[in-house]
Amino acid sequence: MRKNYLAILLASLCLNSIHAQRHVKEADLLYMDDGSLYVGTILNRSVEKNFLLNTGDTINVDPFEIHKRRRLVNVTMHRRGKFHFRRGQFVYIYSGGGGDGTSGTSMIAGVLGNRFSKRLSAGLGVSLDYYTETVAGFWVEHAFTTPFGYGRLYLTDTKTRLYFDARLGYALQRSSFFTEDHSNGVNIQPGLGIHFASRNKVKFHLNMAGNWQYVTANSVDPGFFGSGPVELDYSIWQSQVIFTFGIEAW
Amino acid sequence: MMLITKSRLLLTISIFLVAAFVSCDGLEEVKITYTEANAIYGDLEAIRNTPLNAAPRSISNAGKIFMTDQILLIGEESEGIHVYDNSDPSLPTPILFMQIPRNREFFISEDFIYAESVYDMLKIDFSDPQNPRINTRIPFAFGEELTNGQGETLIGFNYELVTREIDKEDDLFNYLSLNDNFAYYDFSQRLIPPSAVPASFSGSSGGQIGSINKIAVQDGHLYTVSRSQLSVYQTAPFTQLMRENVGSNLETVYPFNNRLFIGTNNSVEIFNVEDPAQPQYESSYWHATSCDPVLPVSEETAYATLRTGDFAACPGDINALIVLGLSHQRGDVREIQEIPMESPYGLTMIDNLLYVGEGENGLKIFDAASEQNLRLIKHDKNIKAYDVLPHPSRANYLLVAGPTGLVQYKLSDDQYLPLSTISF
Repeated sequence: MRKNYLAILLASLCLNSIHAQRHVKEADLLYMDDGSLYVGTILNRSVEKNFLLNTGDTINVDPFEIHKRRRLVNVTMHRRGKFHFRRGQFVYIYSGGGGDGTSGTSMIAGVLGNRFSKRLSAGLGVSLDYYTETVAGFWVEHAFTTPFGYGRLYLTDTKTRLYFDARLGYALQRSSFFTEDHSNGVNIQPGLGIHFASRNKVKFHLNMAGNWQYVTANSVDPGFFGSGPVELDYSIWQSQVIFTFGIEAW
Repeated sequence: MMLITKSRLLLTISIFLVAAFVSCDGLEEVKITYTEANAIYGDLEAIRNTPLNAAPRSISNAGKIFMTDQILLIGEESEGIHVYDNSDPSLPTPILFMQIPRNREFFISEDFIYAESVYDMLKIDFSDPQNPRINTRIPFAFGEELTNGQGETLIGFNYELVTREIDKEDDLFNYLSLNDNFAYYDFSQRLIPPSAVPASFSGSSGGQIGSINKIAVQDGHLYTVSRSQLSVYQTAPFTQLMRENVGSNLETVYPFNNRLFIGTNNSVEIFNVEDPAQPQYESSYWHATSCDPVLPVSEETAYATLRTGDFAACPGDINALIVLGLSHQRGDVREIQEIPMESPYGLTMIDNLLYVGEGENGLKIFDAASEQNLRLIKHDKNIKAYDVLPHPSRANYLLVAGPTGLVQYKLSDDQYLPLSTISF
């Protein structure tokens, strides 16, 4: 297979020559055995032993020293070969939660989306959410499966990109032994996140968001200290600052 | 630079929109429903000196019912016991009213009525139904008296179902469980609470024991359960032998051979009473929270009804008749059969038939010839029954306590014909 790698025209020369981000519509990345990385374009696939590269210019690369090759389309390249995609579909999976002494939120979510521009991405997702809350001093629990729409707006174009994102969904209640008798409800989750560039297609996110879940529920405490049952009927916004860790691929 | 400025503008607008949305307090509402208990204080000595016998009066809030060959006793919740001459079941005639303040539960054994009255346990000589008299009083059998700051004695609570709107941040749980509620907690745990069944049979002189009792007698020993305590008394001489915490939310007690079956709101607790003065925990069967009378019918089998829907007493969402298999081996209780029901209350065995009161939903009769394989043979929706008991000496007579009162039926040609009704 290595014989198929021929010449590369370096659009940005080698790794060390890249000092700032730049838009690359198409690029080949050559990961060499010695750890170096070339970014450019393969000019010639027919030469067996030497590769003609262009650095303005053209250089030769020994195909037997190539560890791995990757072809990228529509990316923003950064130092050390790290990049962000600017277009294309993506899968984003994130999980996390938050809480304090009176309430807690945890969730795991997946999004299938599309990058419409270098700034704007959007998609559809589904999330498994679990909430604990204190209502009038009573500990209550709610669980949902939430289909949602997702949007992300990048605020910077740096190697570590800052973005504003939000999801808007309609949470479908899930019942379990521990949860109250509760209804479906609207879910809103605006957040601020950072998206780390990487040298491969898998990239990491850290995000801080506010999560609001509307829930109507009925909860019966069978009695404590012999006082008899207490019934709560409530409609509340369950709000929480949450922190999530995400992985995005493709 | 332009890109970031626009983005920040969008971000700011979004945050404002979310903040405005979430701050709509009108979207939030919290309602709480609970039974509010208001303390009743009284003069304990005056209560104890209340004359026992009084003129007959009408029944307004029936409680426990006990039947002998000739006499019918009907409890008046928190006030005493109505005594009827029932020698003619078609025409029960009131004899007198026994005033027993704060009484809810009683049981009759060998011409003696055992009844609770606030903190005390009473043994009443009933050998002459025209003139019963207190034989023995065990003061403070359920615990020392509780008093308020003015030295008044707490003698009970009035209960009222309350629904009100509160703030989500109100810490009502701590308010209800702490603060000034220690007295309520202490009182309600130790003293016998109201029954979850409006009217039910305590038993009969024929040896029948009601399945919804909090007081029962067997082999010269009396057992009582409050919400958390099991007490054991020797009937002659009438003395208290022990009083111990054995659990929470205790509801019923039923002695059967060498075992004591205690129904709680989420379990059936079985105690060994080979030594009747010292019940020993043997095993448990756990179930969903509900009201659950227990009726053991043999060494191998017991029946329990699980009822929910009555908010104050029986919250939850299960209604069923459960067949439990009992093993002679310690700790082995298993569910054999679960039969969905509508609103099961008390139950009783007559010959090989199991009668289960379904309250407003009628009376169900099961063939229990194979005691671990019940089969519904009749559902009479016309007989509204909380509890059922056979007449102690007339085999074809059936007593039914229901929403409208106590009805005595005579079985004729497979039909139950009402003989008399005492309304309450």
